[in-house]
Amino acid sequence: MEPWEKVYIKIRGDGDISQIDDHFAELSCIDCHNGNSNKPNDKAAAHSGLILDPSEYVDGTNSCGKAGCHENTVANYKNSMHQNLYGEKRMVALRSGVSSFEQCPQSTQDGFNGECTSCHATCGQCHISIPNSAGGGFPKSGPIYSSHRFKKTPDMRNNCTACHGSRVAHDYYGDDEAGRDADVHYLMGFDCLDCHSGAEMHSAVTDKDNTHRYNYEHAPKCEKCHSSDIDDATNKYHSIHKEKTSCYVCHAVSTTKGEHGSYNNCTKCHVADEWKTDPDYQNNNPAEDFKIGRNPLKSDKRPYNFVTLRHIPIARTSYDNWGASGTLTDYDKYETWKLATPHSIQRWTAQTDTTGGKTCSEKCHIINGNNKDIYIFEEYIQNNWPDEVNSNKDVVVDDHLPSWWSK
Amino acid sequence: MTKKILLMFPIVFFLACTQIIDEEDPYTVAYSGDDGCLVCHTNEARLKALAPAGGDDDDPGGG
Repeated sequence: MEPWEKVYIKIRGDGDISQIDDHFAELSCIDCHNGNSNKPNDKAAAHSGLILDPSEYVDGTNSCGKAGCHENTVANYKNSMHQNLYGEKRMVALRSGVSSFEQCPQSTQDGFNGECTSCHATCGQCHISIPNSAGGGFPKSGPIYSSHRFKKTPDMRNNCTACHGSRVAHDYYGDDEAGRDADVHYLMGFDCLDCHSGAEMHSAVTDKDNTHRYNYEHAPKCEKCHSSDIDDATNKYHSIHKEKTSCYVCHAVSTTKGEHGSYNNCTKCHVADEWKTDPDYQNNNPAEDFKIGRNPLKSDKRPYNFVTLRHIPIARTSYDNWGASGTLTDYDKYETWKLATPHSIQRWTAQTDTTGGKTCSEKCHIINGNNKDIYIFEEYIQNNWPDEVNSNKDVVVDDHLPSWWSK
Repeated sequence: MTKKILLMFPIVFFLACTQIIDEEDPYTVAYSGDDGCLVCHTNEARLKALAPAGGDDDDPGGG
């Protein structure tokens, strides 16, 4: 999008700006953006004191949170995971051997705040414009300009997957080039907000140091829509597995098994592009698939023994370029093959497709060595990432598979 | 959801057509008020002159 298009407001009809959005009936531009509306012929003067994104928090609030506007939502969102990346900060702290991000070395905090939090989303980056990290500007679909319209529900493509564009978008939308089928929910017309509610996005986190990004109150649950399927006693696959394996173990598309597409693991991009300078990953060919492993996040909501895991791009030396060399003192304590929730769901996957009379056991269980490659074993980590063996000792399946399986 | 899409399609199609007709005369100043900000930001020709290409497009990405 050209720079002028990013700030262009297309007016129709009789020239009344409030026709674009009700907000403009009560608010002028300078009410939120500051600047000088009396200097249309002097660009510098008109933009004097300009607030580019009025929804950036300053002193704990922003323009959207003014009295009589969206005070409660803004107050909650200030402490939300989506705004603060608390889940990521928690893991940085734990690997650094401390219990809070604020206790991490200053170099780590600065590095994280300089690079990782550049993606955090303000109100406007979800409800008005395309997020800054995806280029910014008002969304434009074909010839239609959004013209600074305030959207109660963010747009899946212009907002959600503008940021969550690697793993999530490529899996969810499918990818013809990669031979990847789209997620069945996408094909049924569901967008992100059908599962990820406004409450999930806006809610304040009360215990920021102990909130995991996959374990929090408003996290989506398959059971919300599929409880009757999961509890269907006539479906023996479900009745046998429902408390032992997560839904993803069977219904996420696997690259290794390959028949229906592939999963876009983190390291597929991080090693090939942005993280080229990370020698530990550069020197070891990344795994592009998820693996089935033991559940590192067992809870009442997620009681399963086995879940899907993805290889995350974290090495003992990852923060060295922040000047934080040697600070990941507890690197060995936390898995680098971490819980994954692939957005590549299909009813029939290589694990569930029993076409031709094959049994579920033949497709997924390890019998006479078959299917071993979709599970994560210590030997596999030892052969590829010997420095990560200790980190993953609690997720490898070695001594935890059913005794009747013949490895 | 499918029903919603089917209902929205004629509306979107209609809006798209009116927008295309509008595009044929992009330099008309459509804004009728006196807010100086909008005098510029609703004027395509003026914005093109004041915000030339190539200024701020570095590294748009998305993770």
